[in-house]
Amino acid sequence: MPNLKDIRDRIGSVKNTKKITSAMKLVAAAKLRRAQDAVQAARPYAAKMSSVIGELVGRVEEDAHPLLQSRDTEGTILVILLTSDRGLCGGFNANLLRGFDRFAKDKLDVADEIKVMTVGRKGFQYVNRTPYLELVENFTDVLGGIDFADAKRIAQKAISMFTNQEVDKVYLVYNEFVSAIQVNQIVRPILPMSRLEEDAGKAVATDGGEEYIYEPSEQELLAHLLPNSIEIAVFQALLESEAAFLGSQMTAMDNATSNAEEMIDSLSLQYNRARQAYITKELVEIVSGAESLKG
Amino acid sequence: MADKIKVEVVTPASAVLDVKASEVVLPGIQGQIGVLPGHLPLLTALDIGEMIVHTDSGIRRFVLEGGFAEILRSKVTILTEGCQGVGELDVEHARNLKEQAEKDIKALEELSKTESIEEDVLEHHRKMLKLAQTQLLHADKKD
Repeated sequence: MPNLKDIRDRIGSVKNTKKITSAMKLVAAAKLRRAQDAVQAARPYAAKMSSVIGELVGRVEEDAHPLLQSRDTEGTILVILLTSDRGLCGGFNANLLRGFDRFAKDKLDVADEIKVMTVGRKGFQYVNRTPYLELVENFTDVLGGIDFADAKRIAQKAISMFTNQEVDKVYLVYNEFVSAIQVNQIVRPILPMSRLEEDAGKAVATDGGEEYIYEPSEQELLAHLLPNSIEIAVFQALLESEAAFLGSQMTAMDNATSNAEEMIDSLSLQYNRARQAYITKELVEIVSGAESLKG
Repeated sequence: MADKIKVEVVTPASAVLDVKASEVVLPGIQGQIGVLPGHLPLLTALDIGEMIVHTDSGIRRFVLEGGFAEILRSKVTILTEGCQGVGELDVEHARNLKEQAEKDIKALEELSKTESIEEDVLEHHRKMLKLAQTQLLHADKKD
């Protein structure tokens, strides 16, 4: 039987933990609202962009632009992996990394090599301790206040690696925000763009697949539009990931807070029982002491 | 042929507009483009400038901040950095923007004489200036 002081100390420490988790929950909830607004506001643009690109890809020749050219082999794969810097967010990173690991192992059967660019410390650590993944670059200072310039930097790097033939395919791996309690793990191919055709199959050639008229020239337009759409895709993924992280963190901290409450209740019960037992014992001792004096 | 064309405008910040129109005039990079229902598929870059949408309820004017448009027979999709209705323009803000942009451009041009600067930066400020000028130009023409 633990003594009274031990139980009291434990209650104290659980209470402190509860204070921390409930504060973290509030902070996450406040940030989540902003992140959620941002992600929802950005969705129509990203969706339109990808449907326009889907339509476009269905109409142009593959050799119209380097980003459209698919290569025969799987070759080297580049993965842009979006995780968080910090933990205490339930399965946010663990689920994503587990899914990614499965994906990577499948791909290694056909591909030569998998290179990874990471955003977020958790992904960075994971790649560092996984022997069959090669880290290309870890982007720090992106999370917490995502802006388009960061997305652009990441996208540019991926695009230049692709056009220099250092990599043959580029995937984006991230958590998609659905609600505070649900996130989806997404593995999305972004380069080469002809691959998008399969995803956007329904959007392809709704107007009978006629050739577009381009203004200015096709070359100039594609040179501007295609990289831009990759930047948008990365930006959207960053926003999704940020919102999903905050949602997961809020949910995890909410659970932790209610677990702490339960624990406090059960410890209090234990404490009161112990206290009662102690008092009863004292009484019995006093009474029996008095009895023996009488005798 | 359908007598209406669907017009959708989205910006990175939100979906701005989704209406049916009988005619749309866009600020194409190579000059204004008038789009009627049944237009041939056209993909064009847009300049900073005025967009005019003819709807059943009247003519609506907007200032677009570049981007591009995908025109299909029955649908126009416009992806732009920003889109403001002419009636919502903030003249004061535009004026400040213009002054700021003019000052920045002057400073940069001064700087470029002595050392090399990134063309992108100057380009960005020129864009800002053009935007501000366009906004001021159209702010007077209320709906």
